[in-house]
This record gives sequence, structure tokens and C-alpha cells, in this order.
Amino acid sequence: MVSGVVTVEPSGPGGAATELDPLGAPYLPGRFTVPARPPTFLRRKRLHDHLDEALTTPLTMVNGAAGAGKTLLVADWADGLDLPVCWLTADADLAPGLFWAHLMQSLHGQGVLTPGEVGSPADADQVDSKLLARLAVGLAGHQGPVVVVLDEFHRVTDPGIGEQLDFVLQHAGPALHLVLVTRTEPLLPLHRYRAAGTLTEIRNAELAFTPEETVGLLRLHGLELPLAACRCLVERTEGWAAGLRLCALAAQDADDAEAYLKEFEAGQSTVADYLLGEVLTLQSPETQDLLLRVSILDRFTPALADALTGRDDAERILEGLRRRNAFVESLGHSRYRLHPLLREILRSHLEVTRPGLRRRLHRLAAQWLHYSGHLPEALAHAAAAGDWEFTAAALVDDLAIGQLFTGLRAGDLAGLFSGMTPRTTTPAAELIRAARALDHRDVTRGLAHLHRAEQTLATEATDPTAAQLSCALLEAHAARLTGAPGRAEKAARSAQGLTEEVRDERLERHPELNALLLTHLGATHLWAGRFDEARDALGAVVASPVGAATALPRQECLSHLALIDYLEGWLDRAERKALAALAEAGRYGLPPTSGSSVGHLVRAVVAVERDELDLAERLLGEAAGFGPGGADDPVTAAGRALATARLRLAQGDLPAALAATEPTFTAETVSPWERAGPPPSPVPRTSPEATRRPPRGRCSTPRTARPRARCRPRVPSSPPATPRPRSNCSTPSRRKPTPGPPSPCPPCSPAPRRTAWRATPRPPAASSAAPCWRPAGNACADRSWRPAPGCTACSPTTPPRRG
Amino acid sequence: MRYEIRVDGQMSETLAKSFPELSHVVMAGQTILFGPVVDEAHIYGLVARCQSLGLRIVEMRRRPE
Repeated sequence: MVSGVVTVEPSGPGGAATELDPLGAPYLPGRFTVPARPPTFLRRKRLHDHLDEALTTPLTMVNGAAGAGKTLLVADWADGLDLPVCWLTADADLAPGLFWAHLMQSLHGQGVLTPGEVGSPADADQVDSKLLARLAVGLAGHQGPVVVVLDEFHRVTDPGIGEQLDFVLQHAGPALHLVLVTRTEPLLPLHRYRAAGTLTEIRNAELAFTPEETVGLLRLHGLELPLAACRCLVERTEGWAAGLRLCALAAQDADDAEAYLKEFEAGQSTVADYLLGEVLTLQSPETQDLLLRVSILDRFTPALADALTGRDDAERILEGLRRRNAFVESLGHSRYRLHPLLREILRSHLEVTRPGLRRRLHRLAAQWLHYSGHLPEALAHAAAAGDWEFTAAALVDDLAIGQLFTGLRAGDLAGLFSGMTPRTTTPAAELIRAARALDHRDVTRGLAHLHRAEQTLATEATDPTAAQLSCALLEAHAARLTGAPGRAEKAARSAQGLTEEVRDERLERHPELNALLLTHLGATHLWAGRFDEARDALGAVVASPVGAATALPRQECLSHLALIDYLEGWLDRAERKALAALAEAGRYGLPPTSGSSVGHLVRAVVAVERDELDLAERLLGEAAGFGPGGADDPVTAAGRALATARLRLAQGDLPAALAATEPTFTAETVSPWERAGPPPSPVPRTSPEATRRPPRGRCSTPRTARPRARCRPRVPSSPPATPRPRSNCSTPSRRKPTPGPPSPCPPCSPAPRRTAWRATPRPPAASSAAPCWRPAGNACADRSWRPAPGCTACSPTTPPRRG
Repeated sequence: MRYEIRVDGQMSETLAKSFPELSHVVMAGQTILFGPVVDEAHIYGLVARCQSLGLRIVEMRRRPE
């Protein structure tokens, strides 16, 4: 017996949802419920017997036309099993991340997996194979078999999902039994399963009713027909369940059922179309009206149906229809859906009989769903109604603007709002345009939209506080992209005040808002060299409760914390944090190249420090594949320049190292560490394990903890008289020491110190701006060199600090 | 390119409106939907629409321009 599906009571308007999906919206329980069978359902033993073979094969496919009776057959079979059955009814065009998030929710609901055991995807468009591998391992370790039913699998069109399912099936061991209920053949390598005898297949022909079964079905509808009459009926409908059911409904109301069916048999019209027309006209005008109106919805409650009809009789009508098995199916929890086939036909009836009504219905549904806290559905309906003012306001007022940047909904929302008409100029619409522009790193356009929103939001916004808070987030984002700490602080202060004002469940529903804000603030502080403040902001995000919505900000924060550690000389800590950032992404199935590339860059420079130049090269290459493209933010760009220059230098390619330091971005403020070396910090530090490592390369000094940053060209007060040899001590000496121009900073002392080197391109003659390379080979031991007066970047020899 | 899709049964006018981009003609026991098709994706969309409406495709072919 099914031990209970995810039990979430539908929340009525204003009701609090008990469980949230990774999108921050209440899970719609209908998706995870094994559909109830109507009283007129006929159990067919031959099909049950065949389905029992599903427990001996990893994959089962029930494949048939719309209305062939697939779902009810599998639901009836699954309900009779004494096993955990995880049911998921797929929605149209689910992206891989969403698909797996839903599937995992279904597994959690059945107690097959505990939340947190496997993690959950955080990016709608992609799922990392490590997450799937963990899922497969989790399933393989389950005691006893698990049946997973994916209903309406034909609505899943992403070819990647088929491959991913195949991967999980291959690795989940014998415990997993996957049942796909679909109208079309799924994109799995079915031939391989067939050849190996590991596929149970029930196809359309087998699902068709036999004349004998038709006698039984009609009897359940209160019609007694001889076998011969049923044979003719089966011939006309080809045993199609939906056709037979509609026949029975139409004949029930006819004076002479047999004569009516004879007439139908003789007809030549398309079966469902004709019969639906017949059955629909038999219903009361209220019922017809209700059926046409709810045809725009996939699932609905009586309250939502009432909202669409403007009456209050939906519950009674729907319950009556369900009992008669006409049009509607119950999903439990007083949720219903129209039979998918009939819904399609009803939609075309709606379009023909009430042109123009569809848009109005979508708008009504959007309002009701928004009021009830079902934001994603509300947005979809509002967009379908073409009501962009409402769509934009719904997102902004819910404080959900952060979902455009992070979480599973980001791709969907971007697609949704790409259809927004330019005529919509409300503050909320401008905010969304600004967010989309900033997401593409188009600061100029983003700020233009943001300022337009700011001008009007006090008077025109539906919820000025929510709009101002969204503004603050986008201001902070823009400040980060332009390296403007003052602006970021102002935005953060304004956000803090507004958050005090809001203080409601919207903030809990959207933890990404605060996480993104702090990430931007922390990154901007980092740029400005205020490491303590940056660490506070970034650390707060890392310490916040984990979840798919904040996986991306946490990855970014860990990466930036790693950079701070690096700049302060804690190499091991820096590497650990960068790896933690990678693990954070992996936990949520994010590909290793999502989020910020700063973590990769930090690992690359640390690799250079350890002479692992191949690894550094690879990490640098991977870092280039991050993000949405477009210009990097200043911290990333500087980090990339730093890592590239360090690596090229270590490889002995001085021109490339210099070229890498060409500024590729503009920032409003100068970063102390990017332009002038690391901020004053007493000494490079290293942790015990690092100090234990024997020195490598030619340098006789410990190779640990040599933080490097850029050194602004300085005019030394007393330039050295002779060119100094350049060091290859930090590099595996692939380059012959060449005399370089005099260094502005004298070569650093050999033991732990900051090696400063020039970042900005210099004119050929500007010898004072020469890189301050470390002394070469034998010079390593030469402790006579001391920092030039005024060079704060080079610190005197100090014993390494243990970290 | 132009296509024609022959489906089993005589479609009602209402149902034929589900294919607003195509013309249709009802014949003995069959309906022919025909008209311009944008690209392959459109063809698959039409097939899926037929399927979701419970229509059985008997024949489908590209018509000479």
C-alpha cells in the first residue's frame, strides 16, 4: 500500500503553505499524488499481470495515445503495491534542474531519500552528473525496491533528461524500477534495454479494450449491452478508452442507449471531437461554462474554479462530474484536473465559442494564484494574459526579483520576461529590465532602467517598499560591477532599513534577496580592500541556511573569501575555501563552471605557488568558461589578471605576463590590492601542513605562503643604481635570469614576503615601473636587499605565521 | 513549404479551429489539413497537437509548391 504521498494541503487564498519547493513556491500536491480511480474504473487483470513484470526490470514503458487509459492503469497497479511508490506528473517542458528537483521531492515524500542526503539541483537548466551519481548511490543503498512513476512523460521534451534518467538507471542497481507513462517514445536508448531484456513494455494495442472488457466497462456505467454490440463499438473506437468512456456517458443520457450507439458507430466523425460535443451539450449551462473556463488550467481547486466562473458552485459540480467520471479526475486534497485529452478539445471549444475570454481567464487565474502564494503559476498565467504590468508587479512585490539571478526559476523567468512588451513602463517592469541587463553585465543599460524605476516607484509602484528593496539589490549589483564601494554601502544601508519595514514571510520565502545583496556588498568591499567588512558580509551568506535558492551566492561568497585569504597570505585556507565553493556548487548539481570563477582563479594562483603549472593552466582555462559571458566584474577581472600573470611569469613568458595585466575593465575606484599590492598586512602566513612541505624548485626558502598581488608602479625615492637580476625562485626556473630594468620596489627578501610586481603597463622608458621580481637563484639567499622606502608591499623578512 | 495531414474521421468546425494556421477539407471519413509549414519544429508541433486532440494521422506529406 502506498504509505502516503506528499501531504500538503492546498492553501486557499491567504493560507500559509506548509512546504516549499526549491523555487520558494508551495509544492502543488497534485504533481506527487497517485491519481484516484473513478468508480467506473475497470480493472483489467491481463494488464496488471503484465505490469507486475515491472518489478523484475529496471525500466517499464506504458506507451499509448491520449486517453488510452495509461495513467489510471498504472495508478491502480501502483496503489496495490506494498512498496514505496514515488509518483510525479510531469509538467510541460520541465528543464532538467526542475525535473530532478521535483523527482527528488517525490523521493523525499516517500522517505526513500532523506532531504540533504543527495542535495537538490539549484540551476534549472543543468544538473551536474555528480548529483545524479549521488542519487543513484542513494537509491542503490535503499532497502528493498522503489517504484518511480513518471506520468505524462511525453511533456518532458529536454533530450538531456532522457540521458540523465538512463545514467541513474544504469547506476542505481536493482532497487530502482522506473515506470514511464507517455504518449511518445522517450529519448532513452530503448533498443539497448530491449536487447538486454530489461524493458517491460505496454503499448497502445495492448491498452485497447477488448469487446469483453467493453461489456464490463459499460456495465459499470449502468449500460447492459450484448457482446456483439460491444464488438461493433470496439471496431469504431479501436478499443480506445476515452472514446468508450464518452460513448458510455452519451448513451447514459440517451433514451435508447443501444440505438444511440448504433448511430454513433455508423458515423464518420472523429471520435473524441464528436462525442465530447455530444456529452458537453448534455451538461447544464453552468457545468458547460465551468468546464470551458477551467480548461485553461492544468490543475485546479474548486476555489480557483469559482474565481474563474464568478459563482460558488464549483465544488458541487466538480464532485458530481468526478462521480460520473465525466471530464474531471480527482487528484486528492480537493484538487482536480480535466482529462488531458478533453482539456485540449475544450480549449478549442473555448476559443471558438468565447473568443477573447481566454485572456481574461488567465488574468483571473493569475490574480487568484498570486493571492494564494503560488507565484510561478501566477506569473505564467499573467504572462499568458499578456498582462505585463501585473506580471512584473507580482514578481517585484513578492520580493522575488533575486530569482532572476539565482535558483531554479532563473531561466524560466528570463524566458517569461523576454516576451515583455516595451510599452510596459511601470517601475516593476523597469526593475526587471534593469535586473536582466545587470545579469548580462550591461551596467549602462541596467542603470538607465534602474533610474527610470526610481523616479516613478514612489508614486506608481503597487508596493513601494518592495520596489525600493529590489532597487537596493540592483544598486548593489551595479556597484559591484563598477567597483563602487560607496554606492554598495548606500544600497545596503537602504536595504537594511527597508528590511526592518518589511519583516514578513516574503523574506523567508526569498532568502536569495539578502544573500545576493550581501554577496554584492562583500565583493565590492573586497575590491576596495576592506577585507574585514568584506569578510563580515560574505561570511554572513556562507553561514546562512543552505538551500537551492542561495547555492549560487554561497558559491560566490566562498570564492571571494578564498581570494581574501590568498591576498592576506593564507594559501592553504584560500585553497580550502575555493574547494568548498566548488563543493557547494556540486551539492546542488551546479556544473563546476557556474557561479563565480574567482575560486578557480585562487586555486590557479595557489597552484602556481606550488609549481603545479599544468594544474594552474587547466584551472585558468576552466575559469574562462564561467558565467554568462560579457565583461567580468572588477574582482574577477583582477583575479584573472593576477592568476594569468603569475602563471605566465612562472612559465617564463614575461611579455605574456605583462600583457595579462592590461586592464580589461573600468572601475569607479582604485583597488588597493589590484593597483598597489596587497593591503598592509604584517606577514604572509601559512598553515602548519604547508610549512611541513619541503621546498621545491631552486629556491632554498620555503615555497609556501607567498601571496602576490599587483604592485602599482612607484617612483622610488632612491632607485637602485644597477639592474637587478629577476628571480625565477618563485618559478621553476624555466627562464634564464635576464637583467631587467631597475625595480621600483627592490627585490624582496627571500624568505616569506610579499612579492610585488607591476600591474599597469608602463612606457618602455619608464624604468621606474619595472616589475619587482624576486631575485634570481643565488640571489635568493641574498638578504641584503630591502624594500625601497615607501614600498608598503614588500615586507621585511619575518618568520612564517602558522595558520 | 506546404504540407498536408490526413486524419481519420470528420473533424468538426470547432476542432478544426485548433489548427488556425491550416485550411481543412472534410472528405468521406477523413479530414485533410493543409497549408504552409514554417519549419520542422512546426511539423512536430502539429503532430503533437493531433495527438493531444486524439486525432489519428493517416497520412502526412509535403506538397509540391
